[in-house]
Amino acid sequence: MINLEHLHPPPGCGHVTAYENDGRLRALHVTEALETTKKWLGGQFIEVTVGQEPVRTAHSKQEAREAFSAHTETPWQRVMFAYYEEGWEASLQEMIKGKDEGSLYQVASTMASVILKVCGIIAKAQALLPSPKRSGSSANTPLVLRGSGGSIVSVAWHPHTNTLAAVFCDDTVRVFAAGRSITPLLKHRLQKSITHIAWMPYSASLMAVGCECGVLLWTLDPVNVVTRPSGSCVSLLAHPSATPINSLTWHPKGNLFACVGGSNSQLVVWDVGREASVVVHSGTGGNISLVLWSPDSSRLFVAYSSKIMRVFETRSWTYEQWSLESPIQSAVWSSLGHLLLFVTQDDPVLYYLGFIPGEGVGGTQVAAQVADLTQTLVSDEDGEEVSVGGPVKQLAWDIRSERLAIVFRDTEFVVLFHTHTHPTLHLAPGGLIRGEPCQVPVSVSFQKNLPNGAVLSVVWSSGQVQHIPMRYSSREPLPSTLNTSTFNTSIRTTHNSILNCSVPLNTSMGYAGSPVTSPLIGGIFTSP
Amino acid sequence: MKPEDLFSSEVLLWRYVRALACLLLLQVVAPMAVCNLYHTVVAQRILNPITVTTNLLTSCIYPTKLLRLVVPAACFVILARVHIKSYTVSAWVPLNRWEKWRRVLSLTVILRSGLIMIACALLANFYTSLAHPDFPFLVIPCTPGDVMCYKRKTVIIYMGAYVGYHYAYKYFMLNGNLITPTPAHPRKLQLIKASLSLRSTREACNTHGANKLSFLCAICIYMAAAIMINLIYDGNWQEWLVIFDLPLMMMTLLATVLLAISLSLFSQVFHIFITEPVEIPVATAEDSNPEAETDSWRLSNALSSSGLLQLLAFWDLKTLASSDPMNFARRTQVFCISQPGGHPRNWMGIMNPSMNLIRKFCERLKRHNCPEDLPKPPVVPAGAASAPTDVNKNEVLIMSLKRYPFFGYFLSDLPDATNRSIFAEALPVIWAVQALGDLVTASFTEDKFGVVQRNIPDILMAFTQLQKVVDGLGRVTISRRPGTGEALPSELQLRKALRFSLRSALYTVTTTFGDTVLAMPVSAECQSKLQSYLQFKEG
Repeated sequence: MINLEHLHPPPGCGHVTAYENDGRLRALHVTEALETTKKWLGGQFIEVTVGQEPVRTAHSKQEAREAFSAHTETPWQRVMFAYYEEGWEASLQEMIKGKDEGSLYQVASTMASVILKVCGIIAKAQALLPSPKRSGSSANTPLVLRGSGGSIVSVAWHPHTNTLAAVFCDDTVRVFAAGRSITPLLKHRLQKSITHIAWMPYSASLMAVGCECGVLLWTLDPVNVVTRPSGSCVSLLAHPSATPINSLTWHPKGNLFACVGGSNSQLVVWDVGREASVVVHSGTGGNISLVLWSPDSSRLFVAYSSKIMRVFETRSWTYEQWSLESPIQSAVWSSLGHLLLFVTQDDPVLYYLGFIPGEGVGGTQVAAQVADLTQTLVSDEDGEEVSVGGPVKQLAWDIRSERLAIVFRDTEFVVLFHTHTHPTLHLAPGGLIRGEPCQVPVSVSFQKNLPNGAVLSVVWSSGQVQHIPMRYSSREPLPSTLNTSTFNTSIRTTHNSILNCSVPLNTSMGYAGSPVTSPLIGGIFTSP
Repeated sequence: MKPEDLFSSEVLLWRYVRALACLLLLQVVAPMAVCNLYHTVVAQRILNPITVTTNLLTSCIYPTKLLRLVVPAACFVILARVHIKSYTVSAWVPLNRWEKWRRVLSLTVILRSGLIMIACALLANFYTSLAHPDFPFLVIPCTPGDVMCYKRKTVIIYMGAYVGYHYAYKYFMLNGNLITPTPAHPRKLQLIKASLSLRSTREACNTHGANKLSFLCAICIYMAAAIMINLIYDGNWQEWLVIFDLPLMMMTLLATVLLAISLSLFSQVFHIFITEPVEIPVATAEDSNPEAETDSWRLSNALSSSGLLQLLAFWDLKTLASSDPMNFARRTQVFCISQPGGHPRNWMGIMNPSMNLIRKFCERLKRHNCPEDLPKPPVVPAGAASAPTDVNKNEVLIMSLKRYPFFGYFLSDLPDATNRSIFAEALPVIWAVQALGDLVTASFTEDKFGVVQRNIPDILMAFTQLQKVVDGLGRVTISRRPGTGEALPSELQLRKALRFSLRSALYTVTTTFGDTVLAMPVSAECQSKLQSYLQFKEG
């Protein structure tokens, strides 16, 4: 099994990883790095910049009323105003606040406090029951809170063009395109607590923004020069079982997307054109934190906040379930949709799950460990000891499954592996990506429209977005060019799948029964 | 045997039977349990859980109550009969107010609404008779001297009939009978479970007239009626107490809620069973002799049929064409050629009906919106000109009538009605576009004999032409603010969906084929469109 000590030593402090060439990551000084990236990418370079205006985080807004000075109304008036403005609960609270106003008021105040206490007890009792109204308590954290102070928290590449959408911490989205000076600003009163953004495949203009009130579909005309698209470009797709949105994923052909949300475990599929929705699964398992449609569209990965994950087949929506030691943190499908890599929240181990085509889900019974990501001390090129690895924050795999980037929760290096998936999964060390001093990676995303090579966009904690071009010749076939029939037979002969298995991972974690045994051990150090 | 007849005798019939069986199981067992529980706990004041449970069980197998199960069963059979006879796959869009009135006053609609009302009234009476001893069943006569009995019976029956009328109006006039397959098809049990959830139950109560406002109105009307009757018939003061008949109010509430839930469940379960996808074989064994294939049960024939079968056939085609590897074997059948002869019979059998549908739809839109674009019809020989003059006479009459305000109100066209009525039938077209786009894309890697190749330019031209016509109509006029929760009427939504899927299909093809599409023999207009698709400039 590959581990982090196999990686090349990271660049010294003050150097920034700039590009990959000849299979090695190269580091340069900060200014040189940017220049080199610009030179490499030429007209395709997208500079993601924060505008002139200061960006305020959406979660530190102060109440406007606090800015005003004392009032002269009578306590009864205050109670009435509170009722008009915020409802009866606020008026009761206002009633308790006022003291020494006469005996009648005292009685009313005591009654108000009793009523509020009873309400509090009822609310507590309600919280014990599963109710769809309860939100926020166990739902996914919005992107804004996952960032660490920078103005940009996440980026999403368009699947076919050189366009990049960046989520800002004030719950706005800006769209940057190569060679265009106009960066449309997407802002809407319903766009609060963004959790996920995704471009629709096979479309130039559609982007889904998952947020508190549901999924907002933005239609951005690519030839339009409007910097602030109006409200008529948005349509809201909200299903009561899936708000606020925790995660959403597009069908690889567009037209459909699956979304999950709230604190219930319902999986909702939307037809975007007809704006029709259907609940394809509603069962137990706690709230769902992540959904991912496989690139061949036949499977849907669903991660629960409890210690299980399920993979559905998308024909009649039956599923196979796996139990885990801790909830899923992040997962990625391979380009052909026959492999799934995932990490859990607590173990710093990269797991692998294989799938065979045919009827049903066809997943392997046991997940195999492919990389040990335990936090270790390595010495950088200057000889200083730095710590890498630990619990994982995010996985990102490029469109041809040749480069795998891993972002960690506690350490400041992005780990890069060279991978190839056909005929079996191989991992080889790629290197460690370092940013400017004291910068921690927040999220990463691979550009999706490149004919060969890759570009990794890293969002650093300062809010800066860095593009790292990687030059290599691709050897993985594109998903569309692989002949499915030969693929079917080559794998089907090697195993027999057991449907609806529910085997705990912790019992026999390793290579037992897994198809990747020999090639993995033999192939750890081979460069793909 | 024709594919339509085969479909209705071998597929649809069993779906009806299964739907009805499922409904009886769901609807008779569940409401009976609720009513019995009420009967034991509230009416008989038994609170011991063991007694309640045993009572519940014994009352279920009590012979007189078992006999009464005939009544709800009969009601559900009546409702099912009405639903089977009157569901539709495309929304009804009236062209003018006269058509609306004609439908309201048509004999079939009145008859079917009447049947629904009777069924609902019977059901309401049945539910209350189960729940409360003072509410006897319809056929059981009231004891002489019991004034309240008759009143209660009447109120409950009228209330049931009102809920039935409410449902029937929505069903016939507001496209409640429209049946469209859902975007994904999980198992039926899953869908039924989702429709049984607390949220959908509450929604059902609100849509079928069991909401707070209705109750308030019902109570007010009932009280007013009671006071009026007492005043007219000069009753003594004790009869005024009638207006505070608490059990009646409770029963009205219970029966309305149960009825609303029953009706909503009924239509949902019916919908779930009817729209279940059906897999139709691409090629059958008797394909080798070309004479036998006109009527056989195969995809190409189903695609050229109409109604529900056509819709489900296009759904099947869409599933087949999608990139899912599970459909690989079926796609191979589409791309194969006949032995001997080497004809791409399966592909042509799929492409021809789909393209015909798309072309006809495009032509209908053109005829209404831009008649000058249509190719000129051949000149009619002089002898056959009598029929058009009759039509013209009618038109002249209608035109002259429209000038009078009274007739004008009924006969003037509703805004955009013709286009809306055309788009109401767009669902199979949308699926045809998606399926053809996906099949062309799949042919890039899977089509060994090149059977699709020859038709790609035709398909692309048809797509761009249809897109031009649809885009020419301008944007959907009804605007709505996101977050307000109101949905567009289905035909306007379908119009949006058609634009959407055309764009998506063209992008899929151009992205897969790359610059090769520019080398295809297509019209200049289509070529420039494809060019802009290649550059991702179509939004």
